[in-house]
Amino acid sequence: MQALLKIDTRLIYLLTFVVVAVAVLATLGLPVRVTPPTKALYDFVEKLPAGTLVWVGMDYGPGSKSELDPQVVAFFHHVFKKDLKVVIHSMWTMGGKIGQELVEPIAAQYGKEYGRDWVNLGYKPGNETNLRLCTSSIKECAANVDHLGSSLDHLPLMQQARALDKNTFGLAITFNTGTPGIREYLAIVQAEKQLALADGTLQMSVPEDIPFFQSGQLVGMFPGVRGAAEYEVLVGVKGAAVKAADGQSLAALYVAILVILGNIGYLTARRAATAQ
Amino acid sequence: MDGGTLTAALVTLALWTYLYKDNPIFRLAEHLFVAFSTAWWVGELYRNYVKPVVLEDILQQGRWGMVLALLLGVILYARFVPAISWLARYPMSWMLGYGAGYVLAFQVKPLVGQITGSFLKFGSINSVLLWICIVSALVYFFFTISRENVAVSSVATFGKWVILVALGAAFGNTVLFRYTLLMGRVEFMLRDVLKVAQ
Repeated sequence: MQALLKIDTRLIYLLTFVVVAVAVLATLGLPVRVTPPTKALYDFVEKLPAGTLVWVGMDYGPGSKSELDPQVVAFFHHVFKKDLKVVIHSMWTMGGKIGQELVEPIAAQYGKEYGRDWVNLGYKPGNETNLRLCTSSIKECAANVDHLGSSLDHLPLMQQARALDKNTFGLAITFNTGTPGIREYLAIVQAEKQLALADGTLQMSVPEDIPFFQSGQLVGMFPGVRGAAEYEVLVGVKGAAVKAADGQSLAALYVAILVILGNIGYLTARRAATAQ
Repeated sequence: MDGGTLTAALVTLALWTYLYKDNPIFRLAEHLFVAFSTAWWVGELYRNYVKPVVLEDILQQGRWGMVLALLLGVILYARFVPAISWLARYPMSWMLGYGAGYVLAFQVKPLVGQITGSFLKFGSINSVLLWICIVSALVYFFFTISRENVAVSSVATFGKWVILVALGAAFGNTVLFRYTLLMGRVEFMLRDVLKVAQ
């Protein structure tokens, strides 16, 4: 049993790869139970009247794509199904580009026109200072240009989207991975402007962010990629998230087995040492 | 396979070689990453800060008031010249003062929501449990009452376990997040490079 403490780490890595590859190659279709934060967000979006403006913060970089991209995709399927209008903004340099690449095909699928149904302001430097400026004038915080460099004056949706406040928008959501992210939105958009706020976050940030949902400061949230899988189930769209959630479930099982084996090895070694 | 996909695949494989042991291929990929990200940031900072502020706002539009901010920024680098390094303290103190003021003015409000959210509500068992856990965890950090008191000691011990459970949950979530990152890379290798997955 003490051999369990001497397993070659390279073997553990190899098995890790095999476990993840199985999840990628096979469609396991493990059951997905919808949790309250995801359901609350879905219900909130469901109740928004058609034509309502939704502000989407794309506040992450390529390092978090594997968890946050499925959330963005699932959310936009719902938003466009509901005929809501969207303004995308990013406090992260790559956020605008990631948003454009993700949203364009979904918008085309639902026949949504750029400029009329959705606008991507792209990356705007200045972190929370810029976000604060958006609450008084979007035109000013965006320097009057969108992600592609076009003037906002030529985009009909921007005649309606003047400022990031509760009189203009029905919901703000930030898909975020750190700073700037949800903390800035909580202080500026939720606490000051009283605008309904939601959060799309990484699995590792869930314990930090979920208290904001429990306290009622967030109307809902995506708790990691599992949240995206739950949202896909609610919206009725088959995407990458359910598969990623399968991978997470397998990985959790694999890690749990390793932890049990490691503990058996440790306890056996300790007992043997005590006996001597 | 296009050049970008091939490069990404090769760099991914180069990084994975570290799992066997440290080697020059891994080091090359690591240095490439540092070099490219530095170059990326230099470009981004020029495009988003230097060009719009220095070239457009100051030189083209004549907003000369911004020179003062620019000057404060330049003075930060005085710390690299020993004779005038004291000058760097002025912009630094400005930044610290602004930062502290900003946090006090705007970051406290969300905390109020957290505090009111943790008030005891007898409507649900979860709320009562949450309240007990919060109070116990706070007692653990309360060192002005002697732990010789059995009641305080018991609550503090329970609070310690609450903190350990919370840390365990955070660690578990972090492990799962890392697996999702790995899954993204494995999916890229199997689907986009080897084309064996859908």
